[in-house]
Amino acid sequence: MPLRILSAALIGIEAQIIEVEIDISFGLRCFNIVGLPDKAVAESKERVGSAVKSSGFQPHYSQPLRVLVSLAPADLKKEGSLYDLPIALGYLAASKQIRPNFKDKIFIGELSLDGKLKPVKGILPIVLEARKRGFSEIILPKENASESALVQNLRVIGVGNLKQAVRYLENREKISPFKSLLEIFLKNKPIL
Amino acid sequence: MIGPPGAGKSLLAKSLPSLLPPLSFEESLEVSKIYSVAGLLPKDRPLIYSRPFRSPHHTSSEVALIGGGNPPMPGEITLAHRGVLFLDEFPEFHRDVLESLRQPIEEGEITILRSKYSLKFPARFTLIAAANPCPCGHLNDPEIPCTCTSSQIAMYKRKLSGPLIDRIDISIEVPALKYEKLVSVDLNNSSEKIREKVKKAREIQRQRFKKEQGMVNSEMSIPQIKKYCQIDSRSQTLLRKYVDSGRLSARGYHRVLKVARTIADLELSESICFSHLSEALMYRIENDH
Repeated sequence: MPLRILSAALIGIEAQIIEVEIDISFGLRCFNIVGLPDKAVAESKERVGSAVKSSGFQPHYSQPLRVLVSLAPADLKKEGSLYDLPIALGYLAASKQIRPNFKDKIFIGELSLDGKLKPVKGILPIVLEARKRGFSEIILPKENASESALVQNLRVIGVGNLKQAVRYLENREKISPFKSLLEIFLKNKPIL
Repeated sequence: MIGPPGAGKSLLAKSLPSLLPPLSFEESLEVSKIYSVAGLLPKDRPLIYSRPFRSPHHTSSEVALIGGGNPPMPGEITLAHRGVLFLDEFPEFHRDVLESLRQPIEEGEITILRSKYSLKFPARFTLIAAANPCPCGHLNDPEIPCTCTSSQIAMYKRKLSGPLIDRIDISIEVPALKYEKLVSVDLNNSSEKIREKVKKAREIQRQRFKKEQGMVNSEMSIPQIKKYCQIDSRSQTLLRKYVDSGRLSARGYHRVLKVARTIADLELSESICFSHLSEALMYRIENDH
Protein backbone atom coordinates (compact mmCIF):
# COMPACT_ATOMS: atom_id res chain seq x y z
CA MET A 1 0.00 0.00 0.00
CA PRO A 2 1.41 3.40 -0.91
CA LEU A 3 1.60 5.92 1.86
CA ARG A 4 -0.16 9.28 1.71
CA ILE A 5 1.02 12.51 3.29
CA LEU A 6 -0.16 16.04 2.58
CA SER A 7 1.76 19.14 1.63
CA ALA A 8 1.00 22.31 -0.30
CA ALA A 9 2.08 24.20 -3.42
CA LEU A 10 2.14 27.90 -4.14
CA ILE A 11 0.39 29.21 -7.22
CA GLY A 12 1.08 32.92 -7.40
CA ILE A 13 -0.07 34.15 -4.02
CA GLU A 14 -2.56 31.37 -3.48
CA ALA A 15 -1.85 27.88 -2.20
CA GLN A 16 -3.12 24.44 -3.12
CA ILE A 17 -3.00 21.25 -1.11
CA ILE A 18 -0.72 18.61 -2.65
CA GLU A 19 -0.88 14.89 -2.01
CA VAL A 20 2.50 13.21 -1.68
CA GLU A 21 2.33 9.44 -2.25
CA ILE A 22 5.25 7.18 -1.54
CA ASP A 23 5.57 3.58 -2.65
CA ILE A 24 8.49 1.35 -1.72
CA SER A 25 9.31 -2.03 -3.19
CA PHE A 26 12.42 -4.23 -3.32
CA GLY A 27 14.46 -4.07 -6.47
CA LEU A 28 17.33 -2.22 -8.07
CA ARG A 29 18.14 0.92 -6.12
CA CYS A 30 16.31 3.94 -7.47
CA PHE A 31 14.46 7.01 -6.18
CA ASN A 32 12.02 8.68 -8.54
CA ILE A 33 9.86 11.75 -8.06
CA VAL A 34 6.98 12.16 -10.53
CA GLY A 35 4.32 14.84 -10.88
CA LEU A 36 6.10 17.61 -12.80
CA PRO A 37 8.84 18.38 -10.28
CA ASP A 38 11.19 21.26 -11.05
CA LYS A 39 14.92 20.99 -10.42
CA ALA A 40 14.64 21.92 -6.73
CA VAL A 41 11.97 19.28 -6.12
CA ALA A 42 13.85 16.60 -8.07
CA GLU A 43 17.00 17.28 -6.05
CA SER A 44 14.96 16.66 -2.93
CA LYS A 45 15.91 12.96 -3.04
CA GLU A 46 19.55 13.79 -2.42
CA ARG A 47 18.80 16.03 0.56
CA VAL A 48 16.27 13.56 1.96
CA GLY A 49 18.77 10.67 1.73
CA SER A 50 21.46 12.50 3.67
CA ALA A 51 19.06 14.04 6.18
CA VAL A 52 17.57 10.61 6.93
CA LYS A 53 21.05 9.14 7.46
CA SER A 54 22.14 12.07 9.68
CA SER A 55 19.03 11.66 11.80
CA GLY A 56 19.95 8.08 12.59
CA PHE A 57 17.63 6.22 10.22
CA GLN A 58 18.31 3.89 7.29
CA PRO A 59 18.53 5.91 4.05
CA HIS A 60 17.05 4.47 0.86
CA TYR A 61 20.43 3.86 -0.75
CA SER A 62 21.66 1.58 2.01
CA GLN A 63 19.18 -1.11 0.99
CA PRO A 64 18.00 -2.52 -2.35
CA LEU A 65 14.87 -0.34 -2.51
CA ARG A 66 12.88 1.22 -5.29
CA VAL A 67 11.24 4.39 -4.02
CA LEU A 68 8.57 6.16 -6.03
CA VAL A 69 7.26 9.54 -4.93
CA SER A 70 4.22 10.94 -6.68
CA LEU A 71 3.05 14.51 -6.23
CA ALA A 72 -0.63 14.91 -7.07
CA PRO A 73 -2.35 16.60 -8.87
CA ALA A 74 0.16 15.35 -11.44
CA ASP A 75 -0.48 18.10 -13.99
CA LEU A 76 0.50 20.98 -11.71
CA LYS A 77 4.13 22.05 -11.79
CA LYS A 78 5.76 21.63 -8.38
CA GLU A 79 8.35 24.20 -7.48
CA GLY A 80 10.64 24.82 -4.57
CA SER A 81 12.16 22.85 -1.75
CA LEU A 82 9.18 22.67 0.59
CA TYR A 83 8.46 18.99 -0.15
CA ASP A 84 11.64 17.71 1.57
CA LEU A 85 9.93 17.17 4.92
CA PRO A 86 6.86 15.30 3.64
CA ILE A 87 9.01 13.15 1.34
CA ALA A 88 11.43 12.26 4.16
CA LEU A 89 8.64 11.48 6.63
CA GLY A 90 6.72 9.56 3.98
CA TYR A 91 9.79 7.48 3.16
CA LEU A 92 10.44 6.71 6.85
CA ALA A 93 6.83 5.66 7.37
CA ALA A 94 6.64 3.65 4.13
CA SER A 95 9.82 1.79 5.04
CA LYS A 96 8.26 1.03 8.45
CA GLN A 97 11.02 2.81 10.38
CA ILE A 98 8.48 5.04 12.13
CA ARG A 99 4.76 4.74 12.91
CA PRO A 100 3.37 8.25 12.82
CA ASN A 101 -0.11 9.65 12.45
CA PHE A 102 -0.31 11.85 9.36
CA LYS A 103 -4.06 12.37 9.46
CA ASP A 104 -5.36 15.95 9.00
CA LYS A 105 -1.84 17.36 9.03
CA ILE A 106 0.09 19.35 6.46
CA PHE A 107 3.87 19.20 6.18
CA ILE A 108 6.15 21.89 4.80
CA GLY A 109 9.90 22.31 5.00
CA GLU A 110 13.30 22.16 3.39
CA LEU A 111 15.87 19.79 4.85
CA SER A 112 19.56 20.39 5.13
CA LEU A 113 21.94 17.44 4.93
CA ASP A 114 22.29 17.23 8.71
CA GLY A 115 18.52 16.93 9.17
CA LYS A 116 17.83 20.52 10.20
CA LEU A 117 14.72 22.20 8.84
CA LYS A 118 15.22 25.37 6.87
CA PRO A 119 12.63 28.10 6.36
CA VAL A 120 10.75 28.36 3.07
CA LYS A 121 8.97 31.20 1.31
CA GLY A 122 5.22 31.72 1.12
CA ILE A 123 4.04 30.20 4.40
CA LEU A 124 1.16 32.60 4.98
CA PRO A 125 -0.93 31.61 1.91
CA ILE A 126 -0.39 27.93 2.72
CA VAL A 127 -1.48 28.35 6.31
CA LEU A 128 -4.57 30.30 5.23
CA GLU A 129 -5.47 27.60 2.69
CA ALA A 130 -4.97 24.85 5.28
CA ARG A 131 -7.32 26.58 7.66
CA LYS A 132 -9.88 27.17 4.92
CA ARG A 133 -9.86 23.47 4.03
CA GLY A 134 -10.40 22.50 7.65
CA PHE A 135 -7.07 20.88 8.48
CA SER A 136 -6.24 20.70 12.14
CA GLU A 137 -2.48 21.00 12.10
CA ILE A 138 0.44 22.23 10.04
CA ILE A 139 4.01 21.18 10.69
CA LEU A 140 6.64 23.57 9.40
CA PRO A 141 10.16 24.87 10.08
CA LYS A 142 10.50 26.65 13.40
CA GLU A 143 11.69 29.87 11.80
CA ASN A 144 8.53 30.08 9.70
CA ALA A 145 6.17 29.64 12.63
CA SER A 146 5.96 33.34 13.44
CA GLU A 147 4.81 34.07 9.89
CA SER A 148 1.70 32.02 10.49
CA ALA A 149 1.08 33.54 13.88
CA LEU A 150 -1.89 35.54 12.66
CA VAL A 151 -4.00 32.58 11.78
CA GLN A 152 -6.39 31.27 14.37
CA ASN A 153 -8.09 27.86 14.63
CA LEU A 154 -5.13 25.92 13.30
CA ARG A 155 -2.37 24.28 15.29
CA VAL A 156 0.96 25.52 13.99
CA ILE A 157 3.82 23.24 15.03
CA GLY A 158 7.30 24.61 14.41
CA VAL A 159 9.99 21.93 14.43
CA GLY A 160 13.75 22.33 14.34
CA ASN A 161 14.85 19.12 12.65
CA LEU A 162 13.68 15.83 11.18
CA LYS A 163 14.32 13.86 14.37
CA GLN A 164 12.17 16.23 16.39
CA ALA A 165 9.37 15.97 13.81
CA VAL A 166 9.49 12.17 14.06
CA ARG A 167 9.44 12.24 17.86
CA TYR A 168 6.50 14.61 17.79
CA LEU A 169 4.54 12.45 15.34
CA GLU A 170 5.16 9.33 17.44
CA ASN A 171 3.91 11.16 20.53
CA ARG A 172 7.30 10.92 22.19
CA GLU A 173 7.75 14.68 22.42
CA LYS A 174 5.25 17.44 23.08
CA ILE A 175 5.54 20.63 21.08
CA SER A 176 3.07 23.31 22.01
CA PRO A 177 1.47 24.99 19.01
CA PHE A 178 2.65 28.47 18.17
CA LYS A 179 0.37 30.86 19.94
CA SER A 180 -1.68 33.11 17.71
CA LEU A 181 -0.48 36.65 18.11
CA LEU A 182 -3.46 38.09 16.30
CA GLU A 183 -4.99 39.87 19.25
CA ILE A 184 -1.71 41.31 20.42
CA PHE A 185 -1.06 42.60 16.93
CA LEU A 186 -4.46 44.16 16.56
CA LYS A 187 -4.13 45.83 19.94
CA ASN A 188 -0.68 47.24 19.31
CA LYS A 189 -1.43 48.33 15.78
CA PRO A 190 0.41 51.57 15.39
CA ILE A 191 -1.65 54.50 14.16
CA LEU A 192 0.38 55.92 11.35
CA MET B 1 4.86 65.64 -10.51
CA ILE B 2 6.84 67.82 -12.81
CA GLY B 3 9.54 70.07 -11.50
CA PRO B 4 13.20 71.07 -11.57
CA PRO B 5 15.81 68.94 -9.79
CA GLY B 6 15.90 69.34 -6.03
CA ALA B 7 12.45 70.86 -5.69
CA GLY B 8 11.30 68.12 -3.34
CA LYS B 9 9.42 65.75 -5.62
CA SER B 10 10.84 62.61 -4.05
CA LEU B 11 10.30 63.97 -0.56
CA LEU B 12 6.65 64.69 -1.33
CA ALA B 13 6.14 61.22 -2.73
CA LYS B 14 7.72 59.58 0.28
CA SER B 15 5.45 61.44 2.65
CA LEU B 16 2.28 60.28 0.90
CA PRO B 17 1.98 56.86 2.58
CA SER B 18 1.88 58.59 5.97
CA LEU B 19 -1.19 60.55 4.85
CA LEU B 20 -3.10 57.50 3.77
CA PRO B 21 -5.33 55.71 6.26
CA PRO B 22 -3.81 52.56 7.81
CA LEU B 23 -4.56 49.21 6.21
CA SER B 24 -7.65 47.36 7.31
CA PHE B 25 -7.07 43.87 8.70
CA GLU B 26 -8.13 42.17 5.45
CA GLU B 27 -5.90 44.46 3.37
CA SER B 28 -3.07 43.88 5.78
CA LEU B 29 -3.41 40.11 5.42
CA GLU B 30 -3.50 40.47 1.63
CA VAL B 31 -0.28 42.52 1.63
CA SER B 32 1.40 40.18 4.12
CA LYS B 33 0.56 37.23 1.86
CA ILE B 34 2.36 38.89 -1.05
CA TYR B 35 5.40 39.63 1.10
CA SER B 36 5.35 36.07 2.44
CA VAL B 37 5.53 34.68 -1.10
CA ALA B 38 8.31 37.10 -2.00
CA GLY B 39 10.17 36.08 1.15
CA LEU B 40 10.26 39.68 2.34
CA LEU B 41 8.19 39.34 5.50
CA PRO B 42 10.18 40.55 8.52
CA LYS B 43 10.66 37.73 11.04
CA ASP B 44 9.78 39.73 14.12
CA ARG B 45 6.75 41.41 12.58
CA PRO B 46 4.70 38.89 10.63
CA LEU B 47 1.93 41.33 9.68
CA ILE B 48 2.44 44.37 7.51
CA TYR B 49 0.20 47.16 8.65
CA SER B 50 1.70 50.21 7.10
CA ARG B 51 1.00 50.89 3.46
CA PRO B 52 3.89 49.73 1.31
CA PHE B 53 6.04 52.26 -0.49
CA ARG B 54 8.11 50.97 -3.39
CA SER B 55 10.46 53.04 -5.48
CA PRO B 56 12.21 50.88 -8.07
CA HIS B 57 15.19 52.34 -9.91
CA HIS B 58 14.58 53.56 -13.43
CA THR B 59 16.76 50.84 -14.94
CA SER B 60 14.41 48.14 -13.60
CA SER B 61 13.37 45.50 -16.11
CA GLU B 62 9.85 44.63 -17.08
CA VAL B 63 9.94 41.41 -15.06
CA ALA B 64 11.19 43.23 -11.97
CA LEU B 65 8.35 45.71 -12.19
CA ILE B 66 5.45 43.60 -13.42
CA GLY B 67 6.38 40.25 -11.95
CA GLY B 68 7.27 36.97 -13.59
CA GLY B 69 10.35 34.84 -13.92
CA ASN B 70 10.58 31.17 -13.11
CA PRO B 71 9.01 30.37 -10.69
CA PRO B 72 6.78 33.46 -11.14
CA MET B 73 7.40 36.00 -8.42
CA PRO B 74 5.49 39.17 -7.63
CA GLY B 75 7.03 42.32 -9.12
CA GLU B 76 7.27 45.83 -7.75
CA ILE B 77 3.69 46.71 -8.72
CA THR B 78 2.38 43.77 -6.70
CA LEU B 79 4.65 44.60 -3.78
CA ALA B 80 3.13 48.09 -3.89
CA HIS B 81 -0.40 46.63 -3.66
CA ARG B 82 -2.61 48.84 -1.45
CA GLY B 83 0.27 51.28 -1.21
CA VAL B 84 2.33 53.63 -3.30
CA LEU B 85 4.51 52.90 -6.32
CA PHE B 86 6.88 55.78 -6.85
CA LEU B 87 8.65 56.00 -10.19
CA ASP B 88 11.29 58.69 -9.96
CA GLU B 89 12.69 59.98 -13.27
CA PHE B 90 9.61 58.60 -15.01
CA PRO B 91 10.71 59.33 -18.62
CA GLU B 92 14.03 57.57 -17.98
CA PHE B 93 12.31 54.19 -17.57
CA HIS B 94 12.43 51.89 -20.56
CA ARG B 95 9.50 52.47 -22.79
CA ASP B 96 8.33 48.82 -22.71
CA VAL B 97 8.35 48.90 -18.94
CA LEU B 98 6.17 52.00 -18.82
CA GLU B 99 3.74 50.71 -21.42
CA SER B 100 3.35 47.44 -19.54
CA LEU B 101 2.00 49.44 -16.60
CA ARG B 102 -1.09 50.34 -18.61
CA GLN B 103 -3.09 47.21 -17.94
CA PRO B 104 -2.43 46.90 -14.19
CA ILE B 105 -3.26 50.60 -13.65
CA GLU B 106 -6.63 49.97 -15.24
CA GLU B 107 -7.48 46.58 -13.78
CA GLY B 108 -5.79 46.58 -10.40
CA GLU B 109 -4.20 43.21 -11.07
CA ILE B 110 -1.70 41.62 -13.40
CA THR B 111 -2.11 38.31 -15.19
CA ILE B 112 1.04 36.34 -15.89
CA LEU B 113 0.61 33.68 -18.54
CA ARG B 114 2.58 30.49 -18.71
CA SER B 115 2.12 27.67 -21.19
CA LYS B 116 0.48 25.47 -18.56
CA TYR B 117 -1.32 27.94 -16.34
CA SER B 118 -1.98 31.58 -15.69
CA LEU B 119 -1.41 33.50 -12.49
CA LYS B 120 -3.05 36.59 -11.15
CA PHE B 121 -1.18 38.92 -8.86
CA PRO B 122 -3.08 41.80 -7.26
CA ALA B 123 -1.68 45.22 -8.10
CA ARG B 124 -3.93 47.98 -6.85
CA PHE B 125 -1.45 50.75 -6.19
CA THR B 126 -1.27 54.52 -6.31
CA LEU B 127 1.22 55.47 -8.96
CA ILE B 128 3.31 58.55 -8.38
CA ALA B 129 5.60 59.56 -11.17
CA ALA B 130 8.19 62.31 -10.96
CA ALA B 131 9.81 63.93 -13.96
CA ASN B 132 11.77 67.00 -14.93
CA PRO B 133 10.11 69.31 -17.42
CA CYS B 134 13.03 68.87 -19.84
CA PRO B 135 16.41 67.06 -19.91
CA CYS B 136 18.25 69.92 -18.15
CA GLY B 137 15.37 70.38 -15.72
CA HIS B 138 14.91 74.14 -15.89
CA LEU B 139 12.21 74.65 -18.51
CA ASN B 140 9.84 77.46 -17.40
CA ASP B 141 12.16 78.24 -14.47
CA PRO B 142 12.05 81.99 -13.73
CA GLU B 143 15.66 82.08 -12.46
CA ILE B 144 17.75 79.56 -14.36
CA PRO B 145 17.55 79.48 -18.17
CA CYS B 146 16.83 76.19 -19.90
CA THR B 147 19.70 74.97 -22.04
CA CYS B 148 17.78 72.36 -24.01
CA THR B 149 16.93 72.66 -27.67
CA SER B 150 13.29 72.46 -28.63
CA SER B 151 13.83 69.12 -30.34
CA GLN B 152 15.42 67.72 -27.17
CA ILE B 153 12.39 68.83 -25.17
CA ALA B 154 10.02 67.34 -27.72
CA MET B 155 11.90 64.05 -27.64
CA TYR B 156 11.86 63.99 -23.86
CA LYS B 157 8.11 64.51 -23.81
CA ARG B 158 7.54 61.90 -26.51
CA LYS B 159 8.89 59.22 -24.22
CA LEU B 160 5.57 59.21 -22.41
CA SER B 161 2.87 57.89 -24.70
CA GLY B 162 -0.58 59.43 -24.93
CA PRO B 163 -2.37 56.36 -23.55
CA LEU B 164 -0.15 56.40 -20.49
CA ILE B 165 -0.61 60.13 -19.89
CA ASP B 166 -4.35 59.60 -20.28
CA ARG B 167 -4.27 57.33 -17.24
CA ILE B 168 -2.69 59.91 -14.97
CA ASP B 169 -5.42 61.66 -12.98
CA ILE B 170 -3.55 64.40 -11.22
CA SER B 171 -0.52 66.25 -12.46
CA ILE B 172 1.11 68.99 -10.44
CA GLU B 173 4.02 71.27 -11.00
CA VAL B 174 6.55 71.37 -8.23
CA PRO B 175 8.45 74.65 -8.64
CA ALA B 176 11.81 75.38 -7.08
CA LEU B 177 11.42 76.64 -3.53
CA LYS B 178 12.05 80.24 -2.48
CA TYR B 179 13.99 80.89 0.71
CA GLU B 180 11.01 82.04 2.81
CA LYS B 181 9.06 78.91 1.93
CA LEU B 182 12.03 76.71 2.66
CA VAL B 183 12.56 77.96 6.20
CA SER B 184 8.97 78.72 7.19
CA VAL B 185 6.99 76.30 9.30
CA ASP B 186 3.45 76.09 8.00
CA LEU B 187 1.30 74.61 10.70
CA ASN B 188 -2.00 75.04 8.89
CA ASN B 189 -1.55 72.05 6.68
CA SER B 190 0.46 69.74 8.88
CA SER B 191 0.39 66.02 8.10
CA GLU B 192 -1.96 65.38 10.98
CA LYS B 193 -4.57 67.81 9.72
CA ILE B 194 -4.40 66.42 6.19
CA ARG B 195 -4.55 62.89 7.54
CA GLU B 196 -7.67 63.84 9.44
CA LYS B 197 -9.21 65.17 6.22
CA VAL B 198 -8.29 62.02 4.33
CA LYS B 199 -9.76 59.91 7.09
CA LYS B 200 -13.06 61.78 6.92
CA ALA B 201 -13.20 61.46 3.13
CA ARG B 202 -12.51 57.72 3.39
CA GLU B 203 -15.28 57.43 5.96
CA ILE B 204 -17.73 59.06 3.51
CA GLN B 205 -16.61 56.60 0.85
CA ARG B 206 -17.04 53.69 3.22
CA GLN B 207 -20.63 54.77 3.83
CA ARG B 208 -21.20 55.14 0.10
CA PHE B 209 -19.94 51.67 -0.81
CA LYS B 210 -21.41 49.85 2.16
CA LYS B 211 -22.27 46.83 0.04
CA GLU B 212 -18.87 46.62 -1.62
CA GLN B 213 -16.42 46.06 1.21
CA GLY B 214 -13.44 48.35 1.29
CA MET B 215 -14.07 50.07 -2.01
CA VAL B 216 -12.86 53.59 -2.73
CA ASN B 217 -13.80 56.17 -5.34
CA SER B 218 -11.05 55.20 -7.77
CA GLU B 219 -12.45 51.65 -8.02
CA MET B 220 -15.90 52.76 -9.14
CA SER B 221 -17.40 51.07 -12.20
CA ILE B 222 -19.20 53.10 -14.87
CA PRO B 223 -22.74 52.42 -13.54
CA GLN B 224 -21.52 53.47 -10.11
CA ILE B 225 -20.01 56.65 -11.54
CA LYS B 226 -23.40 57.42 -13.12
CA LYS B 227 -25.07 56.84 -9.79
CA TYR B 228 -22.73 58.69 -7.46
CA CYS B 229 -21.19 61.40 -9.63
CA GLN B 230 -24.15 63.58 -10.58
CA ILE B 231 -23.09 67.02 -11.77
CA ASP B 232 -25.00 70.26 -12.33
CA SER B 233 -25.81 71.69 -15.76
CA ARG B 234 -22.99 74.24 -15.64
CA SER B 235 -20.45 71.49 -15.11
CA GLN B 236 -22.06 69.45 -17.85
CA THR B 237 -21.58 72.29 -20.32
CA LEU B 238 -17.94 72.55 -19.37
CA LEU B 239 -17.37 68.81 -19.75
CA ARG B 240 -19.20 68.79 -23.09
CA LYS B 241 -16.80 71.43 -24.36
CA TYR B 242 -13.81 69.35 -23.26
CA VAL B 243 -15.05 66.06 -24.69
CA ASP B 244 -16.32 67.48 -28.01
CA SER B 245 -13.08 69.33 -28.67
CA GLY B 246 -11.14 66.09 -28.16
CA ARG B 247 -9.29 67.34 -25.08
CA LEU B 248 -10.87 64.69 -22.93
CA SER B 249 -11.15 61.01 -23.85
CA ALA B 250 -13.98 58.75 -22.72
CA ARG B 251 -11.66 57.28 -20.12
CA GLY B 252 -10.54 60.76 -19.15
CA TYR B 253 -14.17 61.81 -18.72
CA HIS B 254 -14.84 59.05 -16.19
CA ARG B 255 -11.56 59.64 -14.43
CA VAL B 256 -12.26 63.35 -14.05
CA LEU B 257 -15.62 62.54 -12.49
CA LYS B 258 -13.96 60.21 -9.99
CA VAL B 259 -11.38 62.83 -9.05
CA ALA B 260 -14.11 65.47 -8.73
CA ARG B 261 -16.06 63.11 -6.46
CA THR B 262 -12.99 62.71 -4.25
CA ILE B 263 -12.37 66.48 -4.10
CA ALA B 264 -16.01 66.93 -3.07
CA ASP B 265 -15.58 64.23 -0.41
CA LEU B 266 -12.49 65.95 0.94
CA GLU B 267 -14.50 69.15 1.33
CA LEU B 268 -17.32 67.16 2.92
CA SER B 269 -19.68 68.19 0.15
CA GLU B 270 -22.64 65.96 -0.68
CA SER B 271 -22.79 66.88 -4.37
CA ILE B 272 -20.07 67.67 -6.90
CA CYS B 273 -20.01 71.45 -7.42
CA PHE B 274 -18.66 73.32 -10.42
CA SER B 275 -15.53 74.24 -8.48
CA HIS B 276 -14.79 70.59 -7.68
CA LEU B 277 -15.14 69.59 -11.31
CA SER B 278 -13.04 72.43 -12.64
CA GLU B 279 -10.34 71.62 -10.10
CA ALA B 280 -10.34 68.00 -11.27
CA LEU B 281 -10.07 69.16 -14.89
CA MET B 282 -7.20 71.45 -14.03
CA TYR B 283 -5.18 68.50 -12.74
CA ARG B 284 -5.26 66.66 -16.04
CA ILE B 285 -2.29 66.84 -18.36
CA GLU B 286 -3.14 68.59 -21.60
CA ASN B 287 -2.22 66.70 -24.74
CA ASP B 288 0.21 69.21 -26.14
CA HIS B 289 2.31 66.77 -28.11
